Amino acid sequence: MQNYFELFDLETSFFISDSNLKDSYRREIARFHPDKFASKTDSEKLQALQNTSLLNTAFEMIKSPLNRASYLLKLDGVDPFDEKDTAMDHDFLISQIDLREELEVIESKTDTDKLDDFIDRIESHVQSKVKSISNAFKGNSDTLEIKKDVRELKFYEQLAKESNKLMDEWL
Amino acid sequence: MALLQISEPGQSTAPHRHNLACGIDLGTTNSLVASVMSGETKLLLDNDGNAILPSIVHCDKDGMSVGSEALSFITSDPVNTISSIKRFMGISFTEAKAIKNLPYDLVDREGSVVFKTAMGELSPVEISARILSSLKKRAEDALGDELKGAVITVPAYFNDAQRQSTKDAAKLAGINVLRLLNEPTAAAIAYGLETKEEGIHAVYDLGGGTFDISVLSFNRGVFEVLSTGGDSSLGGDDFDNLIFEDCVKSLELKDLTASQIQNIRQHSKSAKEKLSVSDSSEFKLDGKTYTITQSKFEVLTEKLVKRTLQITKRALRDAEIDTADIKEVIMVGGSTRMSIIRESVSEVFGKPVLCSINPEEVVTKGAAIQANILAGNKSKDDVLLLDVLPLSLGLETMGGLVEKVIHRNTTIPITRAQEFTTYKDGQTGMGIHVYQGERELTKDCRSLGRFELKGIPPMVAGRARILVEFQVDADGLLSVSAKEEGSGVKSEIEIKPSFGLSDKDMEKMLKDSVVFAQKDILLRQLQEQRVDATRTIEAIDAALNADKSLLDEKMLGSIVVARDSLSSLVESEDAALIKDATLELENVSAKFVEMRMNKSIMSAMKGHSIDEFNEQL
Repeated sequence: MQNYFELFDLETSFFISDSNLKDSYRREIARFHPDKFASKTDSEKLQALQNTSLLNTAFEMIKSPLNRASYLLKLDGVDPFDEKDTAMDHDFLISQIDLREELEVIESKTDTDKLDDFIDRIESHVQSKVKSISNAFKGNSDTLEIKKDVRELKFYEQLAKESNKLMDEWL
Repeated sequence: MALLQISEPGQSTAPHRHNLACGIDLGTTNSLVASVMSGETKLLLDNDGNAILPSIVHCDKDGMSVGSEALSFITSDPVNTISSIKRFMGISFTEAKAIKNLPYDLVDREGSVVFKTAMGELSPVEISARILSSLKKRAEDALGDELKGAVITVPAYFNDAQRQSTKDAAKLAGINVLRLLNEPTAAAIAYGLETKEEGIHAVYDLGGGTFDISVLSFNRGVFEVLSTGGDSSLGGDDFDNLIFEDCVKSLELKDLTASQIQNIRQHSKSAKEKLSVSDSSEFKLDGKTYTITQSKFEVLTEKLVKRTLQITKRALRDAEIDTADIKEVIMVGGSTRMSIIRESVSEVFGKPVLCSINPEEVVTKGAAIQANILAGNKSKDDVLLLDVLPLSLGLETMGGLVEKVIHRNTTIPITRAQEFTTYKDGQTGMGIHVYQGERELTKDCRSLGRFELKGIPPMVAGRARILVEFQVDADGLLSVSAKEEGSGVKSEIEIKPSFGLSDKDMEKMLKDSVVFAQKDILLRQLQEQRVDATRTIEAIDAALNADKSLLDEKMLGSIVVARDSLSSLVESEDAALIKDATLELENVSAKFVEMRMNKSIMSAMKGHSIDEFNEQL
């Protein structure tokens, strides 16, 4: 079976162009969307439904850097979010706990300025993790090292999501 | 391929033959139908030249009437004259009962709601079907032949049950549904194709009974919904109701009859409409005058307006879009004529909103354009719609938790599979319970249906691999199947609940999911700890049953004490306490586990010489 990159005629790589991916997605989805088969037989309709579902899944899996890196690891036989392997770097976990506690304090005080600053910091963590992952792919680093970065990125993304949500509620 | 197009005798081969199709907006207050005729999208009119059909059905013992004919009975025969039927689609009896100031006689039919009328008991699906068949007849009269199919619009925020009910009503009316199309998306097509505008747009759609907000991008004929939000029980009716209540209070009206209720309701509605063009409005009741000013109205409705704005902001957040990125805000639905709505929405987006299009017609026209394409007719516009799932879908896991399988705002159609396992030794069946909503606990989400996977071969707990697959089609409708991977035992259902998620529920669910996210996490930990504890107890009980004889009295005693103490704590609210007791039980039985292991190795080796094993190594 083709992998998700091949489905869009893209190189299997962390470094894909956003606009190439989007153009390719739109082109493929336009070919297979069930609406193009509305007056065809049931089995053609079902096929269209399955094809489009696959394209939508594939698009989601390679659109964001986090998903794309995770997927590339999986292709390499490494599951970054294996439930049986929950080991994380000790210092990293401590820093996460500190950040969460900081967010709780900000929340309890409804301090918008501090939250603004907090979100900026988390965003820069996210950026630097993405950069580090990108460098690791560039330098053909060990997959286990990339896995560590990918897992840490997921923590930051979660935190960014929660703090942004909080900000929206206050505004 | 051309060589293969040999027609059978009697079949038309004419490729230019036009397939008759129409778009229908089945609205809370009004319904409309439109069709593409020789390249032009036209609203179809009734014999009196009206495009709008009031969504009202009068049920008399001699039969039903629809539209303005039914409207004339609204105060004289209120119990049998049903309006706003859309609000009743896919909801339960309890939820219907919660709607305020209704003159109807509602009956509980196995949890679903039915109306007791002069024609007998009628379900919301049957009543809606009557409106649809009237529109179908209008379309066939206007187009001169039988319809091949229709696109019917639904609020983007309609859940699975509400969508399914709408489709059922169409089926009942003898309409072949080409697609259910989300109302804001339909409006975007009509607007986008007419203006040729590209870029990101927001559609704010406030109708008679429902509210939707969608953020879409238009790009070379592709209409891609980035996010959607809404409330399928917030609309113009609620604004009328606030005037109604204020009027009843200030005129000190008591013991209202059904026909008085409908009379005041009609007056409230006209008063609201008048406020769109004037600063105050008044009406007379039994010689008393009720007056409402624009500023009073704004105070009364502040909460409702604010709620739509909060939902709007959330949709922007979900789309990861800044208000500055929005090119135009398209206002749809009759209720956006209220000046308070126009002003507040433009304030949120920091720019004037677009009101130049007819807010009632644009949805119907968009549906007609889509119907024309789906019916296989040549169209000057090549349009592709990519819509999203409005509410997350998930499954119940151990301990009353919902595991989300597809998240809200995922582009549809989509298929997602998730693997689950058994939690008891020898378990041969598994209940699969499907939920829709954003919260973590089943009790806070809406049940869509449940089914049973039977015939799983008996295995050790955790060994079976149950693959549950969710498939959402282009209409936003869900079907679920499950199979055990090893044996291939399969089971599936079309999710078809008897009623849907109430909007109050949905509102609560969404609000709660933000406020209580923290609480949910704690509760989740507690639930997981409980599951863990129960599993440990079950394992120990099974082991004791089988191999009690291995233990001396002292060991048995300490295991039983630890087991009973854990068992008494399982239902407590303290996750840490349960965790400690679970660990304690695991500790005191560690030796026992080791003994059992040794025993099973011994029995496996029984009858073989040690040498045989050595040879194999």
